[in-house]
This record gives sequence, C-alpha cells and structure tokens, in this order.
Amino acid sequence: MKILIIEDQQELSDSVRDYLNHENFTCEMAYDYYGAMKKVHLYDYACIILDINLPHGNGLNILKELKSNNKADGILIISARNSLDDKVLGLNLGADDYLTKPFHMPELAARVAAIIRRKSFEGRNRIVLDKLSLDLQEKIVKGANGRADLTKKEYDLLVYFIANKNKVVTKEAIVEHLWGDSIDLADNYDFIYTHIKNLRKKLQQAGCPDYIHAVYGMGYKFSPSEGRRP
Amino acid sequence: MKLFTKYTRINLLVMVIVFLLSAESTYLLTNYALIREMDADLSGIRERIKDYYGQYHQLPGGHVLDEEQVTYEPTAQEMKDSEFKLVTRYSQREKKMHNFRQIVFTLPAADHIYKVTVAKPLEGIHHLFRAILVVSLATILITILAFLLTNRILLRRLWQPFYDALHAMQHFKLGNTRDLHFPSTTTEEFAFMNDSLGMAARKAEEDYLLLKEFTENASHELQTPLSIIRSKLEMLIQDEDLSHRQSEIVRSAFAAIKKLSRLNQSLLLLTKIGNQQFNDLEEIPLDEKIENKLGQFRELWQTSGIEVSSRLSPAIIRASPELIDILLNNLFSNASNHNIPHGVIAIALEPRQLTISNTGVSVPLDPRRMFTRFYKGEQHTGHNGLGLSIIKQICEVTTLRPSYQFSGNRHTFIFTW
Repeated sequence: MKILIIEDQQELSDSVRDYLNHENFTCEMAYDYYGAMKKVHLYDYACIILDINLPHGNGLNILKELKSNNKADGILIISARNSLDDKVLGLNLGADDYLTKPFHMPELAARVAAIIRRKSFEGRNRIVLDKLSLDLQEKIVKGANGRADLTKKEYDLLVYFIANKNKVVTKEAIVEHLWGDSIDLADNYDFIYTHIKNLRKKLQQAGCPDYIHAVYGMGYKFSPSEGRRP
Repeated sequence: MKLFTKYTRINLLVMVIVFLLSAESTYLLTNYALIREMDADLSGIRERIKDYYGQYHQLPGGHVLDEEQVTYEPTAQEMKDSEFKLVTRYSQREKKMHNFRQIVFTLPAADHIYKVTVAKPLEGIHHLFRAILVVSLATILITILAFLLTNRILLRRLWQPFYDALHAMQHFKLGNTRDLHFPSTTTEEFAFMNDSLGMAARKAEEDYLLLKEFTENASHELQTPLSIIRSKLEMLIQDEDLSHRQSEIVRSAFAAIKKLSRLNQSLLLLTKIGNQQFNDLEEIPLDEKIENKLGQFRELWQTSGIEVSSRLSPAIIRASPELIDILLNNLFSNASNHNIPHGVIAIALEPRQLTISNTGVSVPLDPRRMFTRFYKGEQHTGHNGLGLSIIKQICEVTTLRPSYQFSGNRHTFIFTW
C-alpha cells in the first residue's frame, strides 16, 4: 500500500516515512505544490498526508483537485493551524481527518491506519495478529480462548497499539490519544497504568500471550510476534 | 460639564453684565439729559422773573397751578452766577418730602437784594428710572429665554454630526472597520473630523491585522520545528539499545517539548480570544456541558484519589461553545493540578452562578496578580502560568464576572453572569 507524504519540511517528512515504513506501507514524498500535483495525478495512494502550507501553493487546492477528479485516496491534513474553522474547512472539502502540529507519530500512524481501513476494507473489517482477532465493525476482540470483554478506552487503546505495533509509544502520546490534548495535566500519567493493566489481563484471559511490554522510562511497546506465554 | 452647558454659562454671564451696564448707562445718560433740560427750564423761569421785576418792579407771585415752588428772601450779598443743585424738601402738593432740582439766584432791587429760590420736583426722573429698570430686566429675561431656546435647537442640530461620529467611534471594534460609518455632513469641520477619524481607524485596523498576523505566524512557524523535534525523539526511542540514562534524557526532552508546545498553543489561544475570533454565540445548557466534562475527568480524579462532589441546577449561558469548553477544561485541570493528594473538588451550578472550589496549598493566590500572564502561585510547578489569564480572557469576552476566595486550604472561584 502506498502512502504519499506532502510536506515541505524534509526533516519532518523523513521522520514520518521512517515511522510508517514497515511491511505494508511504502512511502513516497513530495516537497512542494507542483511535485505533489504531479504525483497525485499519476498514481493512486491509499492515503495522502497533506500539509496545507506548501511552497508555490495551498495544499487545499490539491485536495480540491483530488475531489474533482473523483480520486478515492484517503486524505489526512496535517497543519500548524489549530482553529476550528480551518478544521471544518478541510473536512468540508473532503479530507478524512485533520491533525494539528506538533503531533505524536503514533497518533499519525493511528489516524492513517484508520483512514486506510475505512477506505480499503469495505466490510471486511477484521484484523488478525498472531492469536488476536479484531472485528472493527462490531468492536469485538477475540483471543484463542474466546472473547475479551473490553471497555471503550481499552478497545481504543488496543486499536492504537495495533496501528503502532512493534513501536515504542510514549505514555504522553497514549494520554493525548485517549483523552485529547485539551486536558492540561501535570506530568503524571499514572492513571493510564490501570487501563494498560486491565487490557493486558483481559487479553491474557482470552488466550493471547502478553503482547504489551513496558519500556523503561518511556512507555509501552505492542509486539504481537514476540509475545511471552503467560 | 457638557459643551452646551459650558457655552451657555459663559454666554449668560456676559449677557447679564452687558445688559446691566447698558441699563446703567441708559439711566445715567437719560438722567443727565433730563437734568440739563430742567436746568434750562429753571433758567427760563429766572429770566422771566427778572423780566417781570424789570417791568413791574415787584416780585411775581407763585402761581397756584405751577408745580414750581418759588421763595424770595432778602440777602446782603449779590451772587455772581446762579446756583443749581439737587435738594430734598417738603412738597406742598404731595404732602411729603421729595427730590427737587432748584436754582438759586439774586435779584438786585431798588433798595436791597433778593435771593430767589425756584425748585422743580424730580418726579419725572423717578418714574423714568423705574421704567428703564423694568424694560432692562424684561429685555434680559426675554433675550436669555430666546437665547437658550435657539441654542438648544440650533446647537443640537449643528452638533448632530459630531454626536453621530462619537456614537460611531464608541461602537467601533478593531476587526470590523467595515461597520464604521460616519453620516455625511456639510459642516467643513465635522467632515474634516470624520475623515481624520476614519483614517485613524483604518490605520489602527491595519496595524492590528499586521500584529495579529505576526502573532499567528510566529506561533505557526514554531509548530513546525516543534513537530520535527518531537518526531525525531519518537524515532530515537524506537532504538532498542537506549540505556536507562539515555532514556531519562529523552524523557526530559519530551517533557520540555510538551511544555513548549502547550505554551505556544496557550499564547495563540490568548491572542485569538483577544482578537474576538470566537464570536459564534449560542445558548449553552451549562449543566449538561459540566456533566460531560465531569465524565472526562472522573477517571483522572479517581486515580489521584480526589473526591469530587457536584450540585448542578439547570443553567443557560450565552457564549461561544468552544470557549466554554476551554474554560471548563482549564478550571477542572487547575482544580486537579493544584490539588493535594486525596483532596476535594466541589462544583456547584446555580442558574446564574458557577462555583468551583478545591483543596490546595494553604497560601492564597495574590488576587491582584493571579490573572496576569505567567503568574505562578508556586514557582516550582511545571505549569506555564497562562491558565488563569486564559480563564480571565474568556470571562471578559463572555461577560462572566470571576471572583476568588480563600479560606482554610480551599481555593474557590466563583463566576457570575
């Protein structure tokens, strides 16, 4: 599956490419308006990550161009502008999602994964990883021993982990994903520990190995391939 | 004092003085003229008496019908000139003391000299004085009345463009210069004033837009490098071989980036609120909003052992929903961040009042400085000190009145509207 990253800051697009480049995704880059226009005309992408402020043009025009050509590419806008108006404008023009800079990489990965799922699975919304299977339509999680009964937050957390599998995800990024960035909290993320603990316990009871590993001082890593037997 | 009043006051004073002076001089001049006239009359009488004596060699008798009183007495010395003077003497006709003008002269007879005194009553002048007084007073009053009336009508009409311009400026808000309209006027001064005001307003608007653009651009430009730093750190921690020490370093860097990006967002938000970019007003059921918000925070409070009690009555507020959301986020975040372990948060909503109190350090906030930017109750905390200024800014544009109380170790914020 191909992803196009349209972002003029090369350091940032390199990071995005490195983070998203794994078995399923191939990332292509465009650094300015014309380069981006050329690429979107020539190829189809599963998802386009689109910055609005580009050299030589406005990213929103690329969005309009895609929509007028009935291209089915999923579009995620990344913008430094954080106002509701900008978001509404972008989404009204047909973008699938809007992410404000500075964002967390795992958040970007989760949003891209969600867009691609929505665009390409079309009903076959199932994820199977090792012993774990998820029905995204029904929001049902099953392990080798049967169903795991997850709360909404635990389910969201699991989907987030899956989109960032084999990656270290910081507690901060998890908190922002689950509670949004509007809640200004002290640097104390103890309260997510309860959710992680419960998710772990429920997955193990459903017959999955322990996929979630704590990474010292940082956060957590979800690695379905190297799960330890309970 | 109003311009009208000031103008009228000075004018009235001058007018009264001028009128009194003119009345006085009219009186003096008329008086002078009349006395001259009377003196001429008296001189005439003198000549007639002299003629009579020259013809008949006897003194004429005082006529009953005449108002002049004539007396003759012998004297030793002859007077060179006649002597005129004002006297008060008994009037036969009116049977009381009266003012008279009299002439005294000598009349040399055959054997001796007569001193003749002729007196004429001054009744006429007395009446004249009265008439002048009445006429002057009446003129003053009528003129003042007419003056006041004309001024009221005329000045109001003449100054109307000025008040219109004033009214327009009062309702002028930076950001909507298009709504600034001055009514057209034919008065040159006002037209000039309107032009100047319009130009000043447009200049202010331009500067304001530039400043707004600058602040927004500066904040936005900061977001990109922040994104890059954060993304690089996130790539760095994917490295399996990070030592504990390196992890610690990266973690501090993460925390600093978070603080910086939050600071940037807060400053941008303050600018936006200040620029009145949130003017989508709606009637918001505050009780529902708070109930939802409590749901979001409950979990966090449970983990930190904070006990929350709420008493919510239905309440409506007219405000921007986005701002109310930010306000509640800030209030609740503050109440939890500045709390003590196993502390308490109490929220009470009445139809026009929201009270939120929390346990915390037993030092009250400085009420004079608490709402200023970068004020921190405790210096060591990791907060940027913008939370309360954001709350204050939101209060200002939402016409909420905030107040703060402290007792024991409870910090209470009360908002009324």
